[in-house]
Amino acid sequence: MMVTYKVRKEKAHALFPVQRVYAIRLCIVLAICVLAGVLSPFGYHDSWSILYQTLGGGVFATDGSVPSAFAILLCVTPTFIFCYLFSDYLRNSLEHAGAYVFTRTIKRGNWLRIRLIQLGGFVCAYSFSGGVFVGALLFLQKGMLGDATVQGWQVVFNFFLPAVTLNMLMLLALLIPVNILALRLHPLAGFITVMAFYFASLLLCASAPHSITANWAPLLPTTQGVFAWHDTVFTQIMFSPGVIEGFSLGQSYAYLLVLVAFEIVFSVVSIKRIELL
Amino acid sequence: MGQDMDHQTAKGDTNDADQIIVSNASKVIKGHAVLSNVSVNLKRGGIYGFFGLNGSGKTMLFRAIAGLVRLDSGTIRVFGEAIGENSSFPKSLGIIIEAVGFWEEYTGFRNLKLLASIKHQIDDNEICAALARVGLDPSDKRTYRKYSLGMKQRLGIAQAIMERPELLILDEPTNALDTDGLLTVLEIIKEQQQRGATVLIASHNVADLEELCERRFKMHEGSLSEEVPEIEKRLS
Repeated sequence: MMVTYKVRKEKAHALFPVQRVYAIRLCIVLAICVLAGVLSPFGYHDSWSILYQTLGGGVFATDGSVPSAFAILLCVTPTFIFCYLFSDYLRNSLEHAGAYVFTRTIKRGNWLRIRLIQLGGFVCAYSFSGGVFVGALLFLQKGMLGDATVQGWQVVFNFFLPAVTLNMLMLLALLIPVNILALRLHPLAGFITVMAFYFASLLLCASAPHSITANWAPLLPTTQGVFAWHDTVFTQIMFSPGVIEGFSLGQSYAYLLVLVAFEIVFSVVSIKRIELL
Repeated sequence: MGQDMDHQTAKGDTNDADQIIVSNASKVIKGHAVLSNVSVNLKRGGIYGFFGLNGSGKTMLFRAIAGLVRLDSGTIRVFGEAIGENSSFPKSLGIIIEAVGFWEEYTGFRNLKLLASIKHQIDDNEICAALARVGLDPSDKRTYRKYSLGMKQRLGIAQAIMERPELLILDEPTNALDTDGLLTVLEIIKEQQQRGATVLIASHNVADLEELCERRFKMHEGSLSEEVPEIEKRLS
């Protein structure tokens, strides 16, 4: 005889607890960005710096002068916070009811694919909302963006999408190795290893003479995310001293896409070797 | 000749599809052999007991069959699928493994609902039926955090059986259960076998589950040996 049970109606879109935790973490990062943005008129940074801080990789290449490590650190702080809070995403997903979830996915690759898509979703949400926030802030601060160096709304739209896309790819390229190292070693070890390399390479490139940076920046993986160094019509208008000639956005997109693809292949190999002891 | 080979392969595959075949499985962790050349063939539809002291390798063997750990050498085929090659895990598996918890902030029902949402094989009613079968109230609003050890164990059993898997791997299923709970588990195992499931049970307590098992194996320091029932010993 069929028995029917009465239970509370569950929301079909309810997040797994692990994802819910990370959704909260995402809100924390964005709140920090908002706070930094709101406080910035009273402090050190101008509104364009806020944009670069929030979108990550906000480093200005120099034409001879040496930027302070502290200034660069401030620019990449949102990226650091985001990567730190998401450094244990795969590990946490595996540790909470891992064996029960893992075995239901039939293939380890399926499990990884779902987790990477979720991670990508968080990265997109962060980059996009960060960009929208900065756009709104700039709009408020600069009126209708009637600044002499900026040509109104067109720049916001033309600048926003390329910058957000670059930031998304860069964040993914950073987060995947952080998470894989976290799985194999420890989240903190993964975070410190990748971020130390990221920060050191940015600091070196920003401090080096322009001729050296121009040769090395297009080759390094970590510098691809620095929008200010790219040779585009918008950066030339706004940051002409920092632009590296011939360092195109298209090249960086391709570079980062190949890098992310390579990292995904490496992740698949790693996840096949993971053991749930 | 070629036809003979094909025929043999086909025949082998047919046999494979109804067996769990563990061949020379070995695993060393930190210099300690946790599985040592283990070989065993188990037919579909049986109940098999693995007994031995804590740390004898029962759980590791189960983890290897479930695809959660990789063998250093040897192979495992579950109903025709080479674990770690054709598929990472057995396709239809229900498992209870020691030390795997649930999401503490959710109720038992919500936990099972989340797990069931991965395969989309069963509806809410079937989840409730599984909970009720192990003696838990589907509408209980207490979160997993507030469950007693026995209730946690019952929830583990419910998640293992709810999707009616072909293979059930139960590692110490009677841990933390009272007499009533033990009887329920015994009944559930019998029911699962009757519907066609193959059940592997590991326990350090032989008396609890001995009578259920069609074949019994003893594990000692990573090695497996089959225990022959007393009556068969006398006959032989």
